[in-house]
Amino acid sequence: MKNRVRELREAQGWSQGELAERLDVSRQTINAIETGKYDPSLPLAFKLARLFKQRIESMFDPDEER
Amino acid sequence: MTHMSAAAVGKKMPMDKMSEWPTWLRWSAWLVSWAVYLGGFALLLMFHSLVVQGLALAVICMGLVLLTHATKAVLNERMRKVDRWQVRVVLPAFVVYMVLMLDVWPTYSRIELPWLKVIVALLPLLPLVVVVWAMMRYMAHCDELERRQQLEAIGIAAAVVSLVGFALGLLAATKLIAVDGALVLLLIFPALCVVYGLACGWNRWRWRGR
Repeated sequence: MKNRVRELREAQGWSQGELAERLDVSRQTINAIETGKYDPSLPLAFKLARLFKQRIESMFDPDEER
Repeated sequence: MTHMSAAAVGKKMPMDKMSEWPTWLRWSAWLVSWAVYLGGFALLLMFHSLVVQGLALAVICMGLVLLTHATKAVLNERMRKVDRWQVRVVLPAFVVYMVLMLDVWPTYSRIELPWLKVIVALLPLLPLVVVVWAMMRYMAHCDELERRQQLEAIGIAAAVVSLVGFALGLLAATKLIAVDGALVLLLIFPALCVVYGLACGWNRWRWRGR
């Protein structure tokens, strides 16, 4: 699933490791989400949306595959 | 899973700074950790005096702590609270297990009382129960991708060990090889742990990203 996590993270000036710490997940999980290799669960997707103050559907596009 | 506060995010232990080292230094630390860890086992196998055994156990423990930190650093991951907790629980359990296996378990043949014999024979099981409990708690604190990786690793370990066991059983039943039943039963748990560990490592490497 295509998403805007990398774009939003870089806009905040955070590294993958910093975002991972804020979400209490591993850095590789952030990397896997950003590269579209892994689709997060609904709770993690909501955590991401809340952290970036975005609506979930504006961050994830289920119609576009990476 | 608990959400970490910004204050907790900023707090770092001295060993955690390993993740800030240059790549070549992190990889060197990882290789040195393996050398220390395996060197401890080599010491344990080569010498049988109590002093050297104690020294070897200390070296193995040091190697395990270094290896845990260095592996995290090589994968660009941080040491979490649950990682430190796991090391603090598994290390003493490992030391107790080794002491029981090396110094207590071999004495069962000299014990007369049958009930005491059973207790001494089963004693090494106690630290293993602690290790299994620590692994279950660790998995409960992992994130969703890590749990998926561990589930895959457990599946691979179960498949490999049961297939190898079944193959050995077929060969033994047809009398093509002679198998010591007690030894095979003793090896099931370590074999599961080794294959699980290898599969976990392979999974972490596959998903590591850059």
